[in-house]
Amino acid sequence: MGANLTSPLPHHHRTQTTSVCNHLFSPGDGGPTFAPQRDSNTSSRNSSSAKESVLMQGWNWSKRNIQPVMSRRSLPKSGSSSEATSSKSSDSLVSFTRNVSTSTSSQYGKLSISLDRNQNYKTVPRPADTTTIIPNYYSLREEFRRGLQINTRQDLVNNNLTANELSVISSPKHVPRPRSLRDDSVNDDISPGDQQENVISEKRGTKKTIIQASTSELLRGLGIFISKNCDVSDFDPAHLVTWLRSVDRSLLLQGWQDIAFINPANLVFIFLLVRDVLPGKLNGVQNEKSILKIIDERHLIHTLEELHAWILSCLYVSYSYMGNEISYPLKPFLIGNDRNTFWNRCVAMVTSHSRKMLLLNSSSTFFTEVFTDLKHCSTSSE
Amino acid sequence: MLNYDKMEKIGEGTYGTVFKARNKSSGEIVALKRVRLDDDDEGVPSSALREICILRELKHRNVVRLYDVVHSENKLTLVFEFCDQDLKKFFDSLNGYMDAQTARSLMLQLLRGLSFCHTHHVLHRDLKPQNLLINTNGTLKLADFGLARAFGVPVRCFSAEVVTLWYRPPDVLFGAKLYNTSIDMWSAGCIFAEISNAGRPLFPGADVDDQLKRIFKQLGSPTEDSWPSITQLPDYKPYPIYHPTLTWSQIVPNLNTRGRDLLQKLLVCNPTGRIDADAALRHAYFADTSDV
Repeated sequence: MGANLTSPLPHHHRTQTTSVCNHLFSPGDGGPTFAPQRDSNTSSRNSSSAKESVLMQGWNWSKRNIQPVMSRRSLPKSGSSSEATSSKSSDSLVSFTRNVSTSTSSQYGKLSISLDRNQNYKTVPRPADTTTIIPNYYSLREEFRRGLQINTRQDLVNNNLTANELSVISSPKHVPRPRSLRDDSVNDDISPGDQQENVISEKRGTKKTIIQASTSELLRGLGIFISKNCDVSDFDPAHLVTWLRSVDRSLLLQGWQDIAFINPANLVFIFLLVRDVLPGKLNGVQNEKSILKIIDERHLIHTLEELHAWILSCLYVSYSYMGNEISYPLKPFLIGNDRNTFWNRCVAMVTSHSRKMLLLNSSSTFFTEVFTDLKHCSTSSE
Repeated sequence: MLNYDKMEKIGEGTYGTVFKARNKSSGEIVALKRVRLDDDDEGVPSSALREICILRELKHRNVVRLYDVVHSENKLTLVFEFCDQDLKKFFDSLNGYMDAQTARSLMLQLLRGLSFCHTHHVLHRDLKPQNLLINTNGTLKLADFGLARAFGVPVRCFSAEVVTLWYRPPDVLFGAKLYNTSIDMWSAGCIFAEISNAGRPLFPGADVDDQLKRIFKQLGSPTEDSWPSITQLPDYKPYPIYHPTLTWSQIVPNLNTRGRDLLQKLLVCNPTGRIDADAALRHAYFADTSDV
């Protein structure tokens, strides 16, 4: 089905004509992930192109903004293959867990994620271990074609934004189609309109679970989590989308970044912070000594504005740690003028969570766990 | 910062000023790195935040220790263990001669620190003599993690504006936005040569183009054969085939055969061919004591 990428708004016509890189952004992301309360989740997601939403406008803006940067690199390759829309890699996330084991390792030597020479994620022949393949479709696609066989051959792309036969960016006309991983081994696009898929397959006697999620899905999950876990009555999950997207957009606008930050992997990171630091109810949330420090402040969150400021602090830490760029300005993350509170929160988060932040990078098991947790939030019915 | 008596200014880091200070209660000497939070706003605090996050998790003999972080009055103060000097200043004190044993010891420690970082999923991305601290007892420590970042969570790209020019690998010079631990290994190679020559930089380029020329003049220009898909790098441009005018024994006369072999394994243009820190530590150069 693949929701329409283009905006219904006339002044966005340029988006339609220069659509080389539209596929880089999940169609569903463009729409109002959270329609006003009257809409159910599914209907809002599928009908994104028919609505005129502020979120939509904003997102389309950022797409257009990115194009010059992206197309310079991707244009020469765009004609050579139709299938592979590899650059979707950061718009959707697929995680494979094989034989979920309880041990986590901080040593990449022991992890069964490995990077090929292009920083693509490859599985290592380590059948009885936990494997998370984090979404680089350059590699994943190839692996699916080979019927999920592990292959030590490496593709030769030096850069994610340039492409070869494994990572060719699709033509502008490419329309993402919904598909199920169950169909066959052909790995097509992941359409964010898809329902989530959990695929369990048997291979060499080991169980493999595939989890995948799109940006919009995880955004919804995060929004639902916050609405369930904090005391701000007028918070709507749609607020979260607006908050996150508008920071991302203004950073693109000001030239601090040329690729949007909000993607599934980074949402998992944001969720890690929000999950532990923010909740106003303790049920279902692990209560750790390390967060007790911050817990006092939680009682201060009663208004939407306070919550907004909180979320932006989490976001600032996330950008600082996970962002592509070396540094980010403070302004888009500040609400009002209370810098002191802002920095207190940031320093507290950094102090309490530096271990987990690194663990998310070094342990595929931990990453999968947090990812799954977030995904459950989005699928659990309100 | 009531706990510390500020002594003299040591220098300017990537951000903020660094002071020597004494802990009032324990008497311990520390280094204080100050980051101003009220400036609007070159993004400095976000780098500081990342450095704090990363360094808090790196506790190793060859990585500078971050003791504490204090937030007060629009300032972030990072409390580090104190080191006497950096490698650059150490070079200056040598009068152009480095003995083989010291060179090997420094390189060994550099690789140990690097191996530790890489094992813990951290890229340093700014290795250079100024960022390597040395204690009076000869212990070397990696410092200044202002450009460092964790890797592992999938990303579409990293920043290409990393590593000081002279120590920047060819793939990054060509604009590669996806790299891995090999980025630090190149820098380590450059530093290795510089150490053995008592502080003479190996590739002191004036700009990106000059930098690549200097590299290729020594190592030969890479081709699609030696480095498949090099032409697809964002800023790739072809360079003529240079013929090396100097042999390795002329370039690093103080290194023995094994040292030269290690150096050449570090300085491989194609990042996939570069030796990693663990393998480098197992290199015969470090087993060899015949010249001592």
